[in-house]
Amino acid sequence: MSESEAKSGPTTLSSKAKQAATAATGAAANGEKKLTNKELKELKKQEKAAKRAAMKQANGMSIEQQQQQAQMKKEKKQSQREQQQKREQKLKNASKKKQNERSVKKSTLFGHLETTEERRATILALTSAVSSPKTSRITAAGLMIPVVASALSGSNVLTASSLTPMGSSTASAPAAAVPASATAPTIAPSTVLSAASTSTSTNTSTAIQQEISSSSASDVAKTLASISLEAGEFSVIPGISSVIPTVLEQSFDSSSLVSSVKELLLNKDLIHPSILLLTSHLAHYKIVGSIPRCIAMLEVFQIVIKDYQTPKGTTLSRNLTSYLSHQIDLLKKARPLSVTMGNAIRWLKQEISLIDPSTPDKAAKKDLCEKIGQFAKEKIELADQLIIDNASTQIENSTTIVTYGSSKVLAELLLHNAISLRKDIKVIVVDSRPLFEGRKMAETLRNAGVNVMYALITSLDTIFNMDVDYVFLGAHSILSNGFLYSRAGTAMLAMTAKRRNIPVLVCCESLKFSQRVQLDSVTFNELADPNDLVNIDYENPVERRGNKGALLKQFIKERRSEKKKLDLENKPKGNKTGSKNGSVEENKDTSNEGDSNDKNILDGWQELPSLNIVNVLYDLTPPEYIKKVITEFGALPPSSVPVILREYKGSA
Amino acid sequence: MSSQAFSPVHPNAATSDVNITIDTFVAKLKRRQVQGSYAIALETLQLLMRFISAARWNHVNELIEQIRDLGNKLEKAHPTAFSCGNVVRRILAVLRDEIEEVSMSTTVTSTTVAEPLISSMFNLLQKPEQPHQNGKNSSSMRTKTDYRQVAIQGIKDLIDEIKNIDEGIQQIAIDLIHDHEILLTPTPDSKTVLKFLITARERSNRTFTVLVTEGFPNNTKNAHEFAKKLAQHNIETLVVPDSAVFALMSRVGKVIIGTKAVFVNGGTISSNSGVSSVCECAREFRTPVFAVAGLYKLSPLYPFDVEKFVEFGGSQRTLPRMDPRKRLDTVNQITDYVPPENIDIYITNVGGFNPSFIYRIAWDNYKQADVHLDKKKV
Repeated sequence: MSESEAKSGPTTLSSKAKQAATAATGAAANGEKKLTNKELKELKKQEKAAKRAAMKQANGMSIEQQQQQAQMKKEKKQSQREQQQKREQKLKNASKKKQNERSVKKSTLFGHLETTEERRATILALTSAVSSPKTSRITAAGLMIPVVASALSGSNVLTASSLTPMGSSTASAPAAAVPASATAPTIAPSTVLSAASTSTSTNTSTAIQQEISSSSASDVAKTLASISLEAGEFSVIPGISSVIPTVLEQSFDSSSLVSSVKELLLNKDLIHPSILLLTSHLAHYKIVGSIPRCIAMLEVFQIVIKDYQTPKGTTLSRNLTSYLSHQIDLLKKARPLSVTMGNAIRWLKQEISLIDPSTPDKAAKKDLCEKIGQFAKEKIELADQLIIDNASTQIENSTTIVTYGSSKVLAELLLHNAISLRKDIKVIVVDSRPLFEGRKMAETLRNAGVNVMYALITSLDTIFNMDVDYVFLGAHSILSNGFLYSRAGTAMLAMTAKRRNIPVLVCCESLKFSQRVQLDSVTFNELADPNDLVNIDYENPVERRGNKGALLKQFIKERRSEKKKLDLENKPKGNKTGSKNGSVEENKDTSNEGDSNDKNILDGWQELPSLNIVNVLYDLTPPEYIKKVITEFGALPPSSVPVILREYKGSA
Repeated sequence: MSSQAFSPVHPNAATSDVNITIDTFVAKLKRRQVQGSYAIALETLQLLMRFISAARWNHVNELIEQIRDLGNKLEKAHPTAFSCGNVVRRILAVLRDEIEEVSMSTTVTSTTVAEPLISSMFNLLQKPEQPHQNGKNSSSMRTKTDYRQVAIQGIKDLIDEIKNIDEGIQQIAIDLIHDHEILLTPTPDSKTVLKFLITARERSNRTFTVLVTEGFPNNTKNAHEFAKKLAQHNIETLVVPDSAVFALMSRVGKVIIGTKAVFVNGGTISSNSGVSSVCECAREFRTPVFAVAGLYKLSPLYPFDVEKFVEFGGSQRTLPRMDPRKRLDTVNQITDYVPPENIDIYITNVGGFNPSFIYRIAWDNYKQADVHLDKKKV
């Protein structure tokens, strides 16, 4: 609608709008309410009409005929206008649909995998629902303003805060919240001006007023308008604050995701806070690596089990498993579970089922916690020790070893050989964008005094032209068909080594062995945030620029465009000063956008429909590239992985 | 090597003016201010044109020597800017051909082919015919102006050829990709690749997906710009990190690489690190690799020592500034050598060739005598 008004001349603008709004009433009745110059124009029109009538009468037409003609004309115009409106509406809908399609970016190759955005949306939705309603905070994932809707907690407290750093009162973008459909009747835009004091949203408006104390009443009105605007636009999931950027919102288009979120929300009371913390750590890649993730999870499980109370009517051995399942469901939302985590969970569930129902809860819980500790020690610490002992026999004096990325076992192995065994080894750490895990590894080794060389995966050719003796690799998991599932880039390294007849050794705890089989890296993988690849300082590419603010930036941008839209819609109703303010603001916005655009070339890649960024985390190394796998059971060829899985199934 | 080597021979004003231009160009090359083999080739040709118009010589061999000296000087300034030496050699070949023709026309009985390499084995045991010098003296006054004209015409032709190289390549290359194919290019800085992809999309109306590797750390900017340009031309584009190449290779239909120089053995130097790994991956997956190269990128050199041809950059692009006591060694490879066994086909503006056939194309355009510009003629 606003577009059509903008197109038509400014003089007829308001009259057209009114005509559209009140189709039944005549034009003359409309004219009375007009501003003075508009009235004048209307009068002139009427005069002209009278003149025309006089002319026609002189030509020999009766007044009735004239009136009939005029009526017909009016009707014709009306129908034309309606048609146009319909057309515009259609266009608008189409564009909106298009936008929806576009913003849910899925690359052609990896459409079957869950994107980070989807995961993030879920996490954001969950945490905002679970965490306390009184605080709003900025997390790494974006701005989070918790909204507790009545559907969940019964209260209709609504918090909002101003976000934009700009000081001007109009610029304070209100953090609009989706009112729960049960309590807040959607506020129609027409009633907004008076809604500040009436309607059920008194509570909300006062809350907003407290928050944005500096802003005037009209801003509050705008805030409310934006609330209702959004309420109409988005599918409402109770408890989700709408400060999630629209890109994330649109991830909720898929019904399966919505249902899974709803399911999680239903059980949200069951979720232990330490699990929540772990989830957020995992989601933000604060804890990385399959072993550290597994250890962290086991530690949290110990806490969870300690705090666990068996509800009446069931036994611990029956109920704890399902209770843990709820926790695991949440953990899964952070990132797909690592193989180590999956194996540990399977073991734990088995342990729980083995508990004699007659044992008292306290003893059972204590027993379980001890067992978890023992498991971690046996499967990880002692296993690592055995692996290091075994692998150390491979490393002679003055060997050159190439490794990739960062691995806990490998770092320990290399340190052990260089420091404790005093072997004169040279380590080449190969690294890649965007994670740069190798930097950490290189730093650890260098700080301990090991002879380290650092190179990027693009210089593989040079590295293997040097005198390389061994390639040592860490693993995320080894699949049952012998494929090594590890950080993206590992396969390339192994392949290059194989082609040059350099032995490739993999150090891997048996906890990482998986029953799964997989043939290539595309079918199952984990997608990391594509924005990690967007941020780069081209002049100084080594400095990592986090994309922590990416979502916030996006959110602010979205807010701005929404505000612009809102301003445009308000223009015909509001006074002229308001529109002037708007135009000034627009100027400011465009200049700001200009600033941010020249930072990264790929900024705003979401807007280009045919541009995609793929940031896969893992790849699959075929077994023929691997000379041997060193586990705590000894060194074996990759083809023996299923043997180990079968033989030691009971213990793993 | 300095301009003094030239100035005593040609003390007049015109040559000193040229010498200044040469010196500035040498300085630009040394500072790596001219980027890209295309720009370098064109600028070298412009310089050569000025140089030849200002040059003075008594015999055409003197002119050849002067051009060789200039070429040597430019090569020394930027040893890995191969296109610079290539175009100089091309012009030398044009001159030598002309000399041959003139000598052939002046001597009635000359039927031998002067190039023993291309000639068949039947005349291997024949005594190579000495170039007849006697006829030269009579015709030298007549032909002196001719040679300048010939050289300058050769330069003009070469400039034309270089400027229109993409046309020829596109026509052949488009036939090599099919609809809905997934292509991967590890050389996003290649303008030839970019133009080829865009014309394939727009003129031939093929739909295909292009994977662009990032080429971190030296080429990421180019890669991002490249991806954006492709996407703006409505080509499905995926930016992938360098590490994900192996993971995605199983889905890739063809790998397209741009080249910086193509050697007689069929190997190539690409202007981006990581290309050799990509091509190796492609070989492992039996994915065809085709290289696009203008004829001027063909170099008569043989990469006996690859390390000599690969360029290395500063460490500031691979490692952040760190504690000086805890320094690390690092490598920053800027260019990459792709061996001929990892390339399936070369698409040049004169046709598609197997890497093993490249030497033949090279000797069509160069003369054996000019391979090493720094060696004085014996």
